Amino acid sequence: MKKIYIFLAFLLLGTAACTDLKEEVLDEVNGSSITSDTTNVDMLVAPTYAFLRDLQSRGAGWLAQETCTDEVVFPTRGANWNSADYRTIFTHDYTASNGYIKNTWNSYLIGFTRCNVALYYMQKLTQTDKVKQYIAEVRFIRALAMYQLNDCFGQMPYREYDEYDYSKIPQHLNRAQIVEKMISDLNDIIPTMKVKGAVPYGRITKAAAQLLLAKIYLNYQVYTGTAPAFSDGTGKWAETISLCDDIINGKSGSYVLADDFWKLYLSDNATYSDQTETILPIIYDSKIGIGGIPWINMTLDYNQFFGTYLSSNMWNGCCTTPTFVATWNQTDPRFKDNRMKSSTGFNLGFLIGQQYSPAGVALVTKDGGRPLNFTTDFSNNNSLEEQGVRVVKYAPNPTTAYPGASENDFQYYRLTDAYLMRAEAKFRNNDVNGALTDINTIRVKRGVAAYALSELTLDKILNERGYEFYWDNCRRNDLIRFNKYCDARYEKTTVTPAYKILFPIPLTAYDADRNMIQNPGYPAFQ
Amino acid sequence: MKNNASPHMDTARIYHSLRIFSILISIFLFAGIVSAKPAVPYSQQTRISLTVKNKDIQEVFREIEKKSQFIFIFNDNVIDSKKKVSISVKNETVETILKQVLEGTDISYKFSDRQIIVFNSKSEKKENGRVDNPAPTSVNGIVIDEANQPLAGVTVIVKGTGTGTVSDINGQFSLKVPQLDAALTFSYIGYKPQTIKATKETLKIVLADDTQLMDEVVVIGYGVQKKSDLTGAVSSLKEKDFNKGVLTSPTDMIQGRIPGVNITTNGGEPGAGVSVRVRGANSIRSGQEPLYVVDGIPLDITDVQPAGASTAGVGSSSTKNPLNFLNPDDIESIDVLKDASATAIYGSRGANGVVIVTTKKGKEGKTNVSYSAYAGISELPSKYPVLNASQYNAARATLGLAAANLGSNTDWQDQIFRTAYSQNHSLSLSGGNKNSNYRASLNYMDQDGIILKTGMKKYSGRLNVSTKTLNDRLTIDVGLTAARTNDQRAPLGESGGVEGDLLLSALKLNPTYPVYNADGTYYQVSDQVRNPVAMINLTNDNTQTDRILGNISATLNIMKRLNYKANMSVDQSKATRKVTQDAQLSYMTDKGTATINNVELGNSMIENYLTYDFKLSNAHKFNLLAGQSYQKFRIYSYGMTETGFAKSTVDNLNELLLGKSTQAVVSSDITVNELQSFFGRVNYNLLDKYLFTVNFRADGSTKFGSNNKYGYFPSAAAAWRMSEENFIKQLDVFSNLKMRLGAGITGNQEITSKIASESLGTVTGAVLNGGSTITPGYTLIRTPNPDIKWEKTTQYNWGVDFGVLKGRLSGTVDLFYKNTTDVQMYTAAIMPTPSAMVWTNKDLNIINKGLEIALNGVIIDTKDFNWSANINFSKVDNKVENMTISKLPTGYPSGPGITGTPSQYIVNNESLGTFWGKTFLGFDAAGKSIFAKDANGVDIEGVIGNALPDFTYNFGTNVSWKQFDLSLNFNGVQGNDVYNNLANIMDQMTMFGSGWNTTATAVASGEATSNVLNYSSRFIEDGSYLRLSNATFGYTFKLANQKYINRLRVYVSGTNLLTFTKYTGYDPEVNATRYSNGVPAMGIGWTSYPKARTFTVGVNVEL
Repeated sequence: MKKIYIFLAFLLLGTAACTDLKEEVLDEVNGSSITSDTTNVDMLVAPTYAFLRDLQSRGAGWLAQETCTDEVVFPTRGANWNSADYRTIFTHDYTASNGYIKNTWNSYLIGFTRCNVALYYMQKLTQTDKVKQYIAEVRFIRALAMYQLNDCFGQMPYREYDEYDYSKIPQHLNRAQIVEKMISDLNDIIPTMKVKGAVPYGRITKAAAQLLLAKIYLNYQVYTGTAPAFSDGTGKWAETISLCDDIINGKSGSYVLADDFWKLYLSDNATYSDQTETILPIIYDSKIGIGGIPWINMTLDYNQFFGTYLSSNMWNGCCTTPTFVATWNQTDPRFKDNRMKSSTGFNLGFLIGQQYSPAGVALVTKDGGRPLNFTTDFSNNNSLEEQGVRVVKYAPNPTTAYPGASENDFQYYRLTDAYLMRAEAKFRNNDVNGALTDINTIRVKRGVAAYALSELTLDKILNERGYEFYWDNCRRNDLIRFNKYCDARYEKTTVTPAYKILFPIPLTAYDADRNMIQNPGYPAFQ
Repeated sequence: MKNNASPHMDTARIYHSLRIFSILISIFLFAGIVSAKPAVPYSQQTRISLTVKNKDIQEVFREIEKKSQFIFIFNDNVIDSKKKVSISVKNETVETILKQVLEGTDISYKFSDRQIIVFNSKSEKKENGRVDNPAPTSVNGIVIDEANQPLAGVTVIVKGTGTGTVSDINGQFSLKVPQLDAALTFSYIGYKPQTIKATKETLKIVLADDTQLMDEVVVIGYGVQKKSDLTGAVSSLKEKDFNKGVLTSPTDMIQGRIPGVNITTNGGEPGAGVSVRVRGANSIRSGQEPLYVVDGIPLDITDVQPAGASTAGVGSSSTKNPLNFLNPDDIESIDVLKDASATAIYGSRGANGVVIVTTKKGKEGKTNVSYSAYAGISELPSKYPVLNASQYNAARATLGLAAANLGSNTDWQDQIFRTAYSQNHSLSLSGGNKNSNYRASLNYMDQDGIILKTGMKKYSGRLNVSTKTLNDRLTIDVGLTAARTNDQRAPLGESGGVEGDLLLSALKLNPTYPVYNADGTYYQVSDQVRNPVAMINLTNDNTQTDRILGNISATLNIMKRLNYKANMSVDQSKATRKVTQDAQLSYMTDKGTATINNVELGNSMIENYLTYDFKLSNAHKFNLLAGQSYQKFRIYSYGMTETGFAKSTVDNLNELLLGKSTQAVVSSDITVNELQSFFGRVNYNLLDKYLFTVNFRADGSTKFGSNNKYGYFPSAAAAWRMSEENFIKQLDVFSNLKMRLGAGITGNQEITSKIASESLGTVTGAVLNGGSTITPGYTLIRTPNPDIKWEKTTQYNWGVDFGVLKGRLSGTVDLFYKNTTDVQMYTAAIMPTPSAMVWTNKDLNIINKGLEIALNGVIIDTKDFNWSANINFSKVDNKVENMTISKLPTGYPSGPGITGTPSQYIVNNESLGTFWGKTFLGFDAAGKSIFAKDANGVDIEGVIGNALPDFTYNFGTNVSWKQFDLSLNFNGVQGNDVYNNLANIMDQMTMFGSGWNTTATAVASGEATSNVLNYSSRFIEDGSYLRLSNATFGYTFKLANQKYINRLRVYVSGTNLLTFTKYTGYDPEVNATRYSNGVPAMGIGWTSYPKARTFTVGVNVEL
């Protein structure tokens, strides 16, 4: 009998054999086979290109960099858009706990890490031409993430791509170290990069890398000088001019200025962009699940519905400021264009005054039924529904099946930028004639009067950049370089202290990493 | 002389004590049920079958004990231990068997009621011969109990001899003793044995109840223990202690009954989810629920509710209680292990307390059939005071707002609420014999909600079978529960946007709007201004949850005192939620939708453990436990949503091709986890006065990082039964006094899966070929943390259990200190990393200090009139300390315009649930909000409230007079703040400007319609309340001449009868789920399903 008991006991014990407790993950792809197969290199690269879309994120970089300027503001409107984070970015009262500044920091650093992850695995693959080319492209994207971090925060935590232990404390690079690293990386890859046409539309080209390097040189004085004027910094105007020369002269691929400015911003702008001046487009396509920032939804009033855009798609949020509107000659074709009015009821560009439905009926506000008359004035703290000038630069497709997102390819770098950067570098390098030629090339192309030599000032160059690139996410960088960032403006009546030119390092960065040091001027981490 | 009736003094004590206990319980119940019937005498003619081979005589006695209800009383030295006997009899009387067994020995026996007194006839004679005592004398006496009632059948033995007798029916006895002054021992089951000296006078012996023996058995981890032997803080509720009324789950049964256990329901939806906090909030993320163990099976209490249709503005639907599948009628007892010395045996799952549910088992004896049923009626206690049509029009006119009058006068709340009916039927059948017992039950419950088209139907069955085999050395227990729950739900959410869910739509909607258009269709303004009646009627939301919980265990008596138990269980559930929305709904963007979501949950376990009891002498008793356990969890969810259904003439879920079937959105997710554990316990009992317990458990989990695979959880506790000390006895105050002290470490491993290891996975990719095909992205999808581990809670507990006034007033006081470290948080990663956040163990402290008091008093205790009362009180002070990171936001409000500012922060040196914001002072002349400002004119932000109560208290009373019984229960919560998120958007004027309804209070407040809708202290309200949660009045029929029915009771019961509170929302018991980065918020009131007031009429019948 006893034997039976013992047998039974062992039987029961035996069924509970020990386990090694290794976590079994069944719904995530097993990495080893994919990362070691060269034919999958596109999949390794795709996340880094996906990061480019994050540069336009409404919750991060785009919002932080645009709403700290005169171009965009999200005012509180009674019950809506009530967020101190929106208000304080606009008034430069931002602190280390601002959510959008935190998101901006995180977005660029995650993008940087995605590039590192791709590089880590690609270095292990057989180094075919395709792999090598991708490595160069990803190194560009990584440099672009570093450029943004440097520009916004003046420092960054840094890991090399082969540093794979994310629990370790990283290196901390200061501004000079980041700039040096970016320049060396870009100089390293530019000779190996393909020109436009040799790679598909939407991919990184030699010209894109050159333009980024030119931007670093254009801002070199800012990066080496003292805020807010930076006049003690080192200018690298010749280097800027030389790189822009290569792009404008077609050495890095064939780019021509667009005859139709607005065609660059329509919802189906890919082909036209590719044919004309776009150096770095960021591709959006709702049909395949990559919808863009809801340009239309976030600015238009609830009652401005049209086509497939319903009232519920409209959020009545952001607008622009009288300060920015005042820089314009309102007859500039870039200010207003009526080509879509019949289908949408509104013009492209700046929406001011009484608004109409596509059928031409005067619209009223949802709240209280007042005339929907967009005024230039607004209150950052509490605006009425109709206050604030709206901006539609990226035009909608009125019949889209995806009214919640845009499909326009984003114009990240254009040939016009090379002209205007060269104009600025020449002007600052005392070649005013050269600058005049470049800026007037653009103005004539856009159908506005050319400047006379006596008229040309730095302010004019800044304004020209505003006319071309408004809402394209370069206003903050420009205002800083032209020493306008701290100026008082509409609904920000005081001059900003110079230290605020750099955003604060978010509190969360210090939460995780005690070696982070707050930018000067802000309360130190403790 | 050894009294075999005292269970801890013999080798077979566990079975024995349980058996005696069950006998007592059955006698008690039996006596209670049929009060007039005399106890059935234990016949010497009882027949049993017995086969033993080559065993010693004691073992034969034990076999007889097991198979009969006799108990042997003997002295070890009476029996020749070398003698082995073999016997094989069938259906013989015990006396016959004894004669055979004892043939050829000097052993004699006497029957005394159920006791068989065994003595050595020879030595008795010898002694009598040897000792020169020519004058043996007779003594007489009477044995009575403490209530002065004669006790029949008390064994009286002359100490040191086998001489004895038993008391007669009148408690009287007469016995020859060798001399006066001889020691006489009186023993009787259920009473403390007593020894006195024989005197000439008529003796009067008062036997005291043996409280130790009568004491409750408490279920602890991997075993049971007498309450008097407990060293830890354990609260035990038996059937009689449970709440009454409409009960859908075990948590409903114990709400408010146990100090230190705070149960908050997620509103009044039938089967609504609950949050259970044992001794405060230990963590700043989810996974704070206690561990539930049903008949030894640790449950996976993942809420198996699949997601419903995702509808803009409605928000996610509230949780359902995952314990709904258990039928309250099947539950015999619920024991809550509170302190570390009690919970450490569950190691990494013990930090939040352990709730042990024990189901009813069959009992030896007559087949018992029991039927209980009730019917109930529920209603909304009070409506939200929004304006009616004329008030609405008048307010708009007064404020100069454009009229928005469509001429109707619709009370939208009347349109969605109803008087709801419920019914419940339970039938059970139980019985058993010496070797086997069974209990089977069936339950049907149909509970309608007070909102149209909501409710729950439940069908469940449970079977418990226990049988003994292999010469009674192997016991097999089988338990099986199968339950089907059908939930019908409406578009109600726990959060939500400007559009609002069903309830917010009903509150905010212009009361001049009609329900229907002239053509009979629903009057729907827009996608954001919704018709709640249409929302209800044009949405079908049904969830079917099938759950099977089964276990089989085998207990093998390997050798003397050593038992081995193997327990295997499976717990499988499958929930399917089907939702259709009709194309007519104003918020459908692409015609009608059909959604099916499934969740499959699997949890299987096998455990093995050994128990060993031994003693070094009568003074040192030990009980050892060692075991191993392995549990595997699997959660698989999958589903699909399809749009484009033009009509709903058929159920679109049955004809998916009618919609855009090729564009259906599908999803799936799977998580598998394993837990492997080794555990042990030593109980040491010194002189029955000093009790010591040491627990240990090692838990390994797949969830933990590779650097921390195993966690180790020790605990130790001591108790001092002071009432056993002479100096306490001399006080003659305490019938029971025990002091307990314990300390230990427990863990919490209810952490997110798949966070420890790095993982390469797919993300949305990009177009790399210039065309319109997307290349999926492949990258690290999280920041790995190989160091991730359990949260660690160190707990100290000091407690006193006492009984005074002869036990009529008893109580428990506990003081505890809990310190949780290695707090798991989803927090900023050390950038640059693949993700901004990482799950990590943060080095901060969450301290919970508390006091718990429970008192029970018997005020009147007579034959016809009984009155008892109970009260409990809990106070927990919570504080976050040494938090070195910036304050963590959570509890973002819902609704238009206020979603960007958190309502709560986790702040260092403040408690969890701290409301943080501006202090509202009133309105300026322009009707704009004024907030407290600092010297620079900047609005001050700071602590404006706290969601944790200062204390909670519950009290109840039971009165019975003849056949009538009445019980009342009150629940109270004091000193907590509630953020009335609903009032923030309903009791203000900002939204009134754009056509929302509002309240009269808001209209009179002087607020401008252009005021900014801010979160501030304005809507932080005092959430204190006192609720008459239940009142039940019953009548038990006298059935003296009834042959078939043993018991018949009818009752009426009311639930949620009265609530005293200043809170202005529907109900102060709020629990809207709000998370931010995994950090939960507390005390936020939203459009939760209002708690109903319910009246029931019920009947209990036992055959």
